[in-house]
Amino acid sequence: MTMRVCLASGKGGTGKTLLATSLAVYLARHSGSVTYLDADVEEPNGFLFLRPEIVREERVTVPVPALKTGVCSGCGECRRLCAYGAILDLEDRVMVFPELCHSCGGCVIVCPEGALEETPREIGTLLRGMSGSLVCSAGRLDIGETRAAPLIKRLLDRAPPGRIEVLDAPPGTSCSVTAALRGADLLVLVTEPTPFGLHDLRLSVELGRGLGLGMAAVINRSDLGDDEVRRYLDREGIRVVAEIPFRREIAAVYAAGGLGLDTSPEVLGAVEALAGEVDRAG
Amino acid sequence: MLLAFTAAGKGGLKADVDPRFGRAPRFVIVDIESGVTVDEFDNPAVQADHGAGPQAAALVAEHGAKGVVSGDFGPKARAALEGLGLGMWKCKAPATVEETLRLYREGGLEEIKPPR
Repeated sequence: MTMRVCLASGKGGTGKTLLATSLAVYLARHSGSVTYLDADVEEPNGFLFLRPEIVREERVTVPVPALKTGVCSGCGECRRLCAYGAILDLEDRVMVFPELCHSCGGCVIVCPEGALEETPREIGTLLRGMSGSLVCSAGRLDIGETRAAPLIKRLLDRAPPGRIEVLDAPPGTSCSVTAALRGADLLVLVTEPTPFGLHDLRLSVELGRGLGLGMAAVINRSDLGDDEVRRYLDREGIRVVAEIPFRREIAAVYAAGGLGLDTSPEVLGAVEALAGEVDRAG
Repeated sequence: MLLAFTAAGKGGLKADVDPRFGRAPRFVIVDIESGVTVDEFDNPAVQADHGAGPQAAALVAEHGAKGVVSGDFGPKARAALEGLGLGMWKCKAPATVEETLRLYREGGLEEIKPPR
């Protein structure tokens, strides 16, 4: 049985990657058979810290409609069906905007002339590698591409087998985050005790509840701000597993691409507490 | 011939032109021969996550416009307008729709030609 722990946050820059990379390395050292998944495919930066040796790269595609030459009658059935405005009626034919397509395939089905066919469109790359005994996999969305969710789904489908998966989620609460958190065994919300942190934490908790996930929290930069985040988590019955104080040294090590785990007793303490939580949830 | 002008707000010919096409708040449809406003309406594509350009292009075409005057056109808007057979002219902001119409008549607006 695989146990998947997801690190997410509403607000960006709260410390998801700091904790996810450190937790993955810690678990790999102590329990073995661990996979790190970077699902923050719009800016995947976990590999900057884990520095895996890349053993495989795979291009990921989504199906989009293409018009066969001279078959379309311009009836507009496909345009009426498309919920994303990816098809435009012209005088005697339609025009397809593949960037706007969400790959439902409906247009191909409703076309009475059989004028549309699905063709693959590349949206990003899956990377896989090893960092010591830690198996690492990351999605990297192509520049300018807007659809992160299909790439994240593929990342999860193709996740190398491991007893524990540590997933680094994108920030926010959009489709890409939902795709990354689906099926998680434990959701760790990384937050900070500021009004902005609290505002986005509420959204994340709502999303976690909607997905029916068990949740725990880590408060980063815990000696700044106020107590509103703690009070909120208490009211929601979400346990604060660890708090990491604001330390310039942690930021300096992180900025240099170092692992917080090996350089900061505060990060190590938080990771040990998180590892305990992962044990209990598994 | 009817031309669609992108407008920043209400006011027909007196409205300021908006330099964006797909995300312009309103469209003003003008009969360029008579100089009369035949229609003006909000642009629902303003709220679109993606693809405001093609949606706006379809909308102005439905209203009978044969060309569009705006500040700039994104790549998808351009493709859609070309496909629909609508001409594209670049306006100079700040200016009202009326002033821009006068410039158009004088041949003072740059026409965007499809690449050959």
